Amino acid sequence: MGKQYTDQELVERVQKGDKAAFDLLVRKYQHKVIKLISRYVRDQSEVHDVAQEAFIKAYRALANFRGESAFYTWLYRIAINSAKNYLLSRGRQPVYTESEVTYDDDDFSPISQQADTDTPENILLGDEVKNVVAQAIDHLPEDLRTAIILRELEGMSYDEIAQTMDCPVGTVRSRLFRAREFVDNELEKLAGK
Amino acid sequence: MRDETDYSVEEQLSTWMDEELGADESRFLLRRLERDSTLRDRFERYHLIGNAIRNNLPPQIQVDFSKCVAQRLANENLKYVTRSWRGVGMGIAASLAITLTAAIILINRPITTSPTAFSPPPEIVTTSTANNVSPSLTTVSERPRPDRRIDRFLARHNELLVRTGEGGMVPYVRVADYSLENNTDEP
Repeated sequence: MGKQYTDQELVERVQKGDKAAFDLLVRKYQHKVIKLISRYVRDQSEVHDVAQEAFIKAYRALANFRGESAFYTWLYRIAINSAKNYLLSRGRQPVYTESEVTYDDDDFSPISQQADTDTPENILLGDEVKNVVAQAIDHLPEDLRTAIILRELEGMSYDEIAQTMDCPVGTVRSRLFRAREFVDNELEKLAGK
Repeated sequence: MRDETDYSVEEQLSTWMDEELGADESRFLLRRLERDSTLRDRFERYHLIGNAIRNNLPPQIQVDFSKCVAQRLANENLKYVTRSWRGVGMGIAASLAITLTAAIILINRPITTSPTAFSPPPEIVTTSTANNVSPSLTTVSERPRPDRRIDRFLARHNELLVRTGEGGMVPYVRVADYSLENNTDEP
């Protein structure tokens, strides 16, 4: 079962009128889409509006999505066009050309990353979240930490992780769940501040 | 060996995110997700964790972003109009059948020699004799006169499909009603 299977299943449900399925797609891809748009749109206060617009456009256009490309690729295209259209509407040229923007450019430093201590209540700083997650991972028992690193960073399947860690697949499943739960509890503390 | 029902729904969610949950369990979980906003929030946080580990987070994270999108969709009252694939399929099948029938009738019509306004220009045809090949200028054929009955039938069929909402002929097919000077083909 590949990455596209879940997306394909959700897309088909959306095409049948299931808005809750689209909500799941939004929740899944929002961070990537927002990060992508933030490479075009410097004003962080506008990034989320442009990202919302991108998802609205995607919802409208989903009826014509035939699965010839991955949903993720298709969504990215819409997000880029939304960002460019926003800039053109403001009389600005895109800062980066499309070829300069890579999907997983970990070295990219956003120009206007705000370290504002007075952020609105509904906004979390990306760096803050990353630090909390990193600290939580460090505090995990070794078997849980290994499992979640192999899964999230190396993209290994459960079978591969089971072979690597010399344990049953069911144990991998349990370890990943417990690792996520632990980190999630730490994140909830951050959100509750 | 543990049964799927022994696993908590949260653990199933974790497994489903990794594309490792069985098909039946996935369907059950999806139905649960659609009506359980708390579970959807957890789904979102699991993805946040993964993106954080991969250093793939935006500078700012709006915690209610998905709710804002959902609200905008609700405000715009966007209704997903799903195509009646059955209707479209029937329309296309009917159009193809009519087109094929018309094509067969046209092919089987005897070739007329009287030129019409639609005659193709003369073509050079190479004819061969026993010893040599010599070109000759010959009018190969003229286009057969359009059958007015076919035209009317196609026009009525197209009109009917449009009225019933099943779609008319394929867009690039134009149904034209030829006006002929000689109405000897009238039924």
